[in-house]
Parts: sequence; C-alpha cells; structure tokens
Amino acid sequence: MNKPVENNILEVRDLEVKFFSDEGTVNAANGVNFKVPAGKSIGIVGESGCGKTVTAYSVLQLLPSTGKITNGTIKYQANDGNVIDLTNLKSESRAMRRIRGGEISMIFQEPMTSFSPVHTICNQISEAIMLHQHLSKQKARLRAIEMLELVGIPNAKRRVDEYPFQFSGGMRQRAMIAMALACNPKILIADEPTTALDVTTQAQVLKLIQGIQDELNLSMILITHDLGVIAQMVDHVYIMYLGKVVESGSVYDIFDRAKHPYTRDLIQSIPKLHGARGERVTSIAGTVPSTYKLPKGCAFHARCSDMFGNICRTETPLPIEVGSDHYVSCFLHSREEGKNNARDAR
Amino acid sequence: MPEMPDNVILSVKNLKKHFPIRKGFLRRSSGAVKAVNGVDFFIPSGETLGLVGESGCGKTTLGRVIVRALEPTAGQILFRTSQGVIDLAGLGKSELKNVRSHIQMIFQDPYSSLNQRMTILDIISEPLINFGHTRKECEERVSELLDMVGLNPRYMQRYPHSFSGGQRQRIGIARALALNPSLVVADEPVSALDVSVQAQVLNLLMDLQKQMQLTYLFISHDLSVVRYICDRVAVMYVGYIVEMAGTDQLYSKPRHPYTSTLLSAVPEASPHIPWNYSVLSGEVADPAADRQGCAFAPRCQYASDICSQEIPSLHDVSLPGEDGHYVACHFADKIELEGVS
Amino acid sequence: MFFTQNPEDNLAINDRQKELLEEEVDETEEQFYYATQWQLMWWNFRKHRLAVGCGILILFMYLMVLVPEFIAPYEPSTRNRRYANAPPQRVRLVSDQGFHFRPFVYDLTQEIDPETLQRNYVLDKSTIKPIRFFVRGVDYKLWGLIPSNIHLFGVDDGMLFLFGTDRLGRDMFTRVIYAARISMSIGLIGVFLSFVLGLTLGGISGYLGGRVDNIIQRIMEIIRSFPQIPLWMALSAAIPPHWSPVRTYFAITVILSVIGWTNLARQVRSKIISLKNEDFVVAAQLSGTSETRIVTRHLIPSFMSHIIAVITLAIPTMILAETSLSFLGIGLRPPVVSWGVLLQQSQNLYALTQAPWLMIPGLFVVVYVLAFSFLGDGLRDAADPYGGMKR
Repeated sequence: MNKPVENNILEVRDLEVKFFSDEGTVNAANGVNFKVPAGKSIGIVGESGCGKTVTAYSVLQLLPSTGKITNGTIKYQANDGNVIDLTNLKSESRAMRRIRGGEISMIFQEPMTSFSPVHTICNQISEAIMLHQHLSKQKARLRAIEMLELVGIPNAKRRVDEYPFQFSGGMRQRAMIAMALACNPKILIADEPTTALDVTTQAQVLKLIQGIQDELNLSMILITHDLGVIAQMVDHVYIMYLGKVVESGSVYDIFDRAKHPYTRDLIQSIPKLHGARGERVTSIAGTVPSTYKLPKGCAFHARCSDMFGNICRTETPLPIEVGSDHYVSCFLHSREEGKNNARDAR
Repeated sequence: MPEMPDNVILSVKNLKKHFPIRKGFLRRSSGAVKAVNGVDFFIPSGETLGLVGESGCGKTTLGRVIVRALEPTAGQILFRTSQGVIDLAGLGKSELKNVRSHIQMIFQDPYSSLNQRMTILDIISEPLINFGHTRKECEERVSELLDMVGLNPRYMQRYPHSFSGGQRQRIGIARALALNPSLVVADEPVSALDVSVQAQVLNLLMDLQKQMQLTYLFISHDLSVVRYICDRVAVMYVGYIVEMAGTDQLYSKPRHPYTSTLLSAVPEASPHIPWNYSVLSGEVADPAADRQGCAFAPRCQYASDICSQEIPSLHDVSLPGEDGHYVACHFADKIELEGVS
Repeated sequence: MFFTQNPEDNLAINDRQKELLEEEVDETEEQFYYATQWQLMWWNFRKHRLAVGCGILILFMYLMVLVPEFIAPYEPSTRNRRYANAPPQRVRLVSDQGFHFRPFVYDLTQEIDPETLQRNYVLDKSTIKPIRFFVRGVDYKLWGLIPSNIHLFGVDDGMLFLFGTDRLGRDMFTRVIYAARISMSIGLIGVFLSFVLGLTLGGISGYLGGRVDNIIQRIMEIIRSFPQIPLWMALSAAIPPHWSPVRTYFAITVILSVIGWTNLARQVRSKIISLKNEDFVVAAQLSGTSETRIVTRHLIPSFMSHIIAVITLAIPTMILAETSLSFLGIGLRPPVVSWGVLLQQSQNLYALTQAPWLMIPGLFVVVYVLAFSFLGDGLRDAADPYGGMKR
C-alpha cells in the first residue's frame, strides 16, 4: 500500500528501530504497524521496554543519536495534502521541523524537563507560535494567553509571565498541553501524560485533553501503561510487547474480546476499583525479558500460559484478522490445528 | 504501661511530624511544614490497613515516623510486642534497636532500596547479623527466605544488578521478613513495577501475610490496589486522616467529600463503566500554613462557614450494622455521597 | 490456563517463577551477574582507550622515578665544565661509514667563533660513540641500600647528553629524571594529605549535619575565598630559608594540601548527604545496623569510586601548584631539583633563544598533567557502573 487510506492521517508500517551501544544492539521496535484515523484517538499500551515511547519518538524523528530507524515507513498526510514518508526526512531538516511542533506535537511525561527553567511560560509558548505561524510578538503573546485560558489556567494574563517552577505539577502539564496545541497541530502525541500526576490531577488533565480533542477535532496517540486511562480515553487500542504490536482492535474488542493471551492476562492482572477485596488477581509469571536478548519465536512464549508447542518457540506469529479491524499475532488463532493443540494443552 | 485493646497491634495517637523551615545565615526556624498533623488510627493484629492519599499528603512521612526512621514531633505510637505494649515515640536509640526486629519496612523503589555493592546474601543477612546470628545460620535463613518469596536460593551470591524490578522487590521483601517481624510498613511496594509484575508481588504479600500472621500498613496512592489488599482504609489529606473505614464500606459509601472525589477520579479499566469525575477546583492546601478550619474546605462543594473556622475531628459515624466508620467532616451526617459499587 | 484458583496454589507460582529464572544464561552474563562494583568499573573503564593508555603511561613514569639512579646516566649535581650549555645530542644509526646496528652519538667539541667570541658546539664526526645498555658508571646506592654502579644506558668514554646540559654543564636528562621523583611524589603526597583531611572533615560534616556541618562549611568557605597564589606565596615565604631541603619539601606539600582539601571535602559531604537519604541506608538503619557499620559497609563503598576519580583529577592541580611556586622561586629551592626548579633557570631570554632544551622539563609537566586529566576523566565516567542500569 503506497498511500494511506483516505481518512488515515498517519500510518506506520513495519517500523523497526534499533539502538546501537557497546553492550550490544537493542531491538526497540520490531515491525510496528499502526494507523491514526483523522479525528480519532488511538492508544498504545505496554510495559517497560515494549517500545511504545521509541515508536512515538520515531514519528517525530526525535530518537537519540544511538537509535536508528532501520526499516519501515511512517506515512503522514501533511497539511498541504501531500503524503510524506517521515522516515525519509532528516531529523534537523526544515520540513521535519515544520511538522514537528507545527503539525504533530507531543506532550511528555515530565513537564518540568520539557520546559526551560530560565524562560517564562509566555516566552516558550510564543516562541513556538512565532516560529510556526509567523505571528508578531504581540499576537503570539495574545495567542499564548488564549491557549492558557483554554487549558483552564486561572489568571492566565498574569500567570503567563511566570516561570515553570512557579507552576504546580498539574498546572505545568496544562501549560505543556497549551504549548503543544498553540500551533493548531493535527496530531497530538501524549507520552504517559499523567503518569507523574496524582489521580485527581490526572483526571482533570485527561478530561481537559478529551474536551480539547473533541473541540479541535484532533487526532491523538496516547501512550501509557495504564489500562484504566486507555479504556476511558481512546477509540482504538494497540497492545505492544517487546517491540511488537501483539494485538490491536477497538477498545471494546480489547477489553471484551481480547484474543492474545498477553492482552487477556494483562487486563485480568490489574486490580479493579470495582473488584472485591481479597480475591486473587491473575498474575503473569516471570518478568519482561531484556531487550538485549529477545526470545526466539513469539516474544511472549516463555510467560504465556497458553503456549502449546514448538511453533511458539521457533516461529514468529503474524497478525491475523479475527474480527473487523481486530488483529492478533498469536498461533492460537492462526490455524485450526493451533486451536486444537491449545485445547489439548489445557 | 500504656494500654490498648488486646486485638490491636498498633495504635497511633495524635501523632505529629513537623519539619522546621530554616532560613538565613543563622538558619533560624521560621514556621514548619506540618507533614503529619495530629493523626489517630489503629490496626488490629493480622489485618491490613491501607493508607491512601495524593502526593504531599503526608502518608510516606507517617510511615517513616512509625518505623522511627524519623523522629515524631508529638504524639504516641503504641505497639504490642511479646513483652507488652510500648510507646515507640518515646524510645531512645538503644531501646529502639530491640524493637527493630518487630517492625520492618518495604520500600517503593526496588533500585535504591538495595545496596548495589552487596550480594543478595549480604543484603538479606544484614538484619540477621545485627541480631547476633552466625554466618552459617544466615545462609540457611536467607535460602529459606528466598524460597519463600519465590526466588531461587542458588542466586544468593549474585548482585542486585542481575535482577529485574519485580525480583528486586522480592529481595526487599525477604530482607524485611528476615527477623520475623509482626508489623510491616509497605510504602508503595508495587507502584514502581510493571503492570504484569504488580499482581505477582501483591499475591506474594497476601500469601506471606497468611503464612506469617503479618500485619501490614499499606501505603499507596492507587485506590484499586488498596481495595484489593486492604481490610480497612484510611484516607489522608494534607497531614490529617479524613476518613477511615472497612474497605468495602469506604468504597461503596464514602462519607467524606474528598474520599468520594478521589474514588470518582480513578479511570476504571473497562470502557463500559463511565468516568464521572467531578472536577476539583483549586490547589492542594499548603502544609506549612496555619489553618483554622478543614484543610479540604476551600475545594469542597459542601463547605460552609464552620468548615473554615473549626477543624473537624475524626469521629465515629458508623450506622447500625457497620463497624468503625470514622470521618473528619462537619457534615458527614448531612450529605449524600456517591461511591463505587 | 495458568492462574491460581485458590490461595494455596501459591507454591505453583513460585515454582514457575524459579523455572523462568533458570533460563539458560551464557558465561559472560553469568560473570556479569556475579560482578562486584570494581569489576563493573573496570569493564567500563576499559572502553576508554585514551584513559587506559594514559594510565599505562603514568604507571611507566612512576616505575621510572622509583629507580632514578639506575635510569639516569649521571648524578644530578655533577658539573661538566667543558660542556656548559651543550645542546642535546642526536641518537643516530647512520654514519659516514654506513648503517650501525647499535645506536651512537657523535662527540661534541667546542669552538669559539672568532668574530663574536661565542662558544659553539660542533659535531666531531670522527668519533663514533656507541650507546651501550647496562653500563657501569657512577657508584650509587639504590634506595640507600643496594650499592651498584649499573646504569640503564651510557657511553664508554666521554659524555652523553640526551637533553643537553645547563649553564653549569649538568646533564639535563639526569636532572629531569631526578626532578620527576620530587615533582611526581609531591602531587601524590599532597593529594593523600588532602584526601585524609577532606574525607574526615567532609564526612563528619555530611554525616552529622547541623551545627558541626555549619561550622566546617564556613571554615571551608573562608579558606576558599582567599586567592590561591598569594596565599601559597605568603605561606611558603614563611618557611625559614635555613630549613633542610627535606623539611621544605614537606612544608610545601602541607601548604598545598591545606588549601586543596576543601574541594574534596565538599565532594565527600555532598555524596554522604545524598546517600544518607537513600532507601538502602534507611533500610539498614531500620534493621538495627550500627552507625559505624552503616558508614563502613554502605556509605564509604558507595562513594569511594567517585572519590578516586576526584583524587586523580586533583593530582595535576597539585603538581601545577608546586611547579608554579618553584618557578617563582618560593617553592622548592636548589639543590633540590623539581620540574619547577628546573624551569626556573629557563626564565630568561638566553634560554629561549640559545638553549631551548632547558625548557624540556615543561614538556614533562604538560605530559604528566594531561595524562592524569585523561585518566581521571575515564575513571569519572566509570565511577558509577550502575548509572545506566535503571531500566
């Protein structure tokens, strides 16, 4: 497929990212596929080392110098209507800089590190506006205030001249959202936007993002390990494990009809607010393997409770469509014999 | 000798911990951060009390005062040992050492809580050596403990850097249990772990509790985890306990507006359960300020004049058929609050 | 499906856990799992080629100054009237007669320019003096104990001046080697003294905190607020001129370390303060570990590697300080030879224009200081082998 489907604004195919270091090569992403429909939000879920952040950074060409995209395409439908493969753009090129921050922007987990401590909030937001939208300084300032009001910062006119350290954690995260949205981006990438926040602040910030997304018709990629946030925030979910998407589907597919043993166990293993006290939580045995030494075959086989034969150890499962737009990479669903084997194993 | 009911192992009375704010060249004290500001609670033997609250509410400080890693500013910490009830708050250094074996702590960060430069054997046997065990006894006990927490004793000569976060947390648990404590303060023991590993550690904690008749003070910000593991829950807000009750009761029928807000803020991991969060206005109160009224009053939709004038005390509001539902709110009897089913 | 239906099944979890842990590990990983911090540091350090090279160079230099009597062909104070201000002799392999397997030098003869009356040295190409190794020469006692007269190299008769001679005809190579002993040891001893002072005072300051910390911090700030060079000058001017060279030498090291310890004390203090609040130290306290044991088992091992790197980086400052003091004529004084003392005699126009070889000691200072800086950089990078491991 050379062109993304009409309504997909971003389409990532077979993305492979490797990190090269003295200790060896880390396969951070191993053929990641996902697409972002215009105006929809997708969620990428996974535990540490699954490559979810690396995937986001690759879209914006923000990988550190040791990391390289070794394969795959990232097709983006730019504002001018052209379809660009972002992997062909140099990280510091003019075109990439125009897209980054202007058309695709990102909010990070730790707002303190993404603001410069020596400039006021106003300076930092309006700098981006002046760069991308070519507004005058006064107009950029007005726009910055407007954005801060949009994200619900009280006394925006006064607070715009304060420094990031004068903001509380939640306020800082709001200011970062304001900065990310200041240039009318089409896609917002949120990398664990609320992990560092308290639950009430998290709720405020997520509700804010949801509201703004509806209002501005944004597409969003939400990256998190928190299934609760995913269930409440996104339309389509991609479950990642060790650099691969193991299952993808609508939020209902994932939470009601999970097909991959990892997805199923992951959902069952989180304690529920509505659960009953003292009931055992299903746990997934073992730990996430090191990315330096990926397991052969299906990456999950060593921890999988449904592993049923040699094929899991030796061959890599490919995504199979098991429902409308619901894909799973697991031999259990690949062919009939797989199913029978699984039944026997149980 | 101080008294407390027979089934209670720990009873905290009006406990305070203030951190002085020092300023200037002479480092004169100017005010104090009142991290824990008059807290009362108790834990029955063999039960788990959850301590929930948001960052800065003083829950971690409270935990550290109870294990006496910090000096309390005022109040009593009554603790039952085989020799009788003692007040931990009043103990000096040497008396404290003898109590240490009964109260232990599990830390949040599995990386900084283990000394990277010592082998697993040395880490777990440190408490044993302090209490006079020989090298050989240590080795036996360590291998027994590793087995208990689900690690292979063969690896006791390895260094922490060869273990993953979840495995390190198991090592931390083994160290805490080395001396057969009766009370374990667990400070966010699973919040630094991967989702799939969290459940393992929670199950392990529950099994160990049964096996060793442990009492837990379980400190966490995660209401879902607390619901799963705790018998009773205390909710903290800016230095005070605002509500304490049996877990199911607190979750289904919260009586303090803050508890209700907190519960509604949690996004449930199911797309079918709607997320009805009533947005809290304003910011968390400053723990250094001198306050006359309820700390939550400026953000509370039910607040009236009395709330900013008088600090509500934690009192028993349990209805017939409920046991021990304590709330610090002037309007606990008058407002209807929503919980989770 | 693997999950436990009832709580008694916990053992099953444990067994499966162990099973998973026992995945096959290859030998290097096995080694890594059992590696102490020093092994990990060494593996990290090895990757810095430059630092390793500098380490070897430094080791070689120190081995050399252990036995200067053997390395140097002469004695540092022997004067050769006939060869004042002689230029360095080139070591050759090819003469008019062809190739020689043994390196040799030509003899030098003096001529007086009839017009300017200036002395010039010309090569006497008729005499080939082969350089021999392990030759017998001046008698000496190695370390004051072992009498010997074997030198690493020399010529059978006549003289060999690899680095030329000074205005009294003393062999510069010999003097540079003997000076290295003084200069290089003054750095070590000075740093050792400031290390002892810094570790003790910084440690007390950081561990006890409160009033003691306040007092020590203020004292350090006062010492640091003096401009260094004038302070050194004032202190060394106070050394009585009639003191023996050995006493002066020790006085100078003490002066250097009295000022140098503050930096180290700061490092130790800040490390201790941050470590004191680490969870593993709190855990040790909670399990009833005594304070002495916490300091010796937990705190010191945790910052030692870092301190070693800091010390390595401090040695060059020491040696530069000694060199500058001696160069200014207020540090060590002849007949003691240090690099600074040697450089003092190149302080004039004559040396610059007519006898540039008098500045060779400066080259040694530069090489030594650079080598230590690179070594220190490598050590500093390797000092925290756990930094990158956190997820």
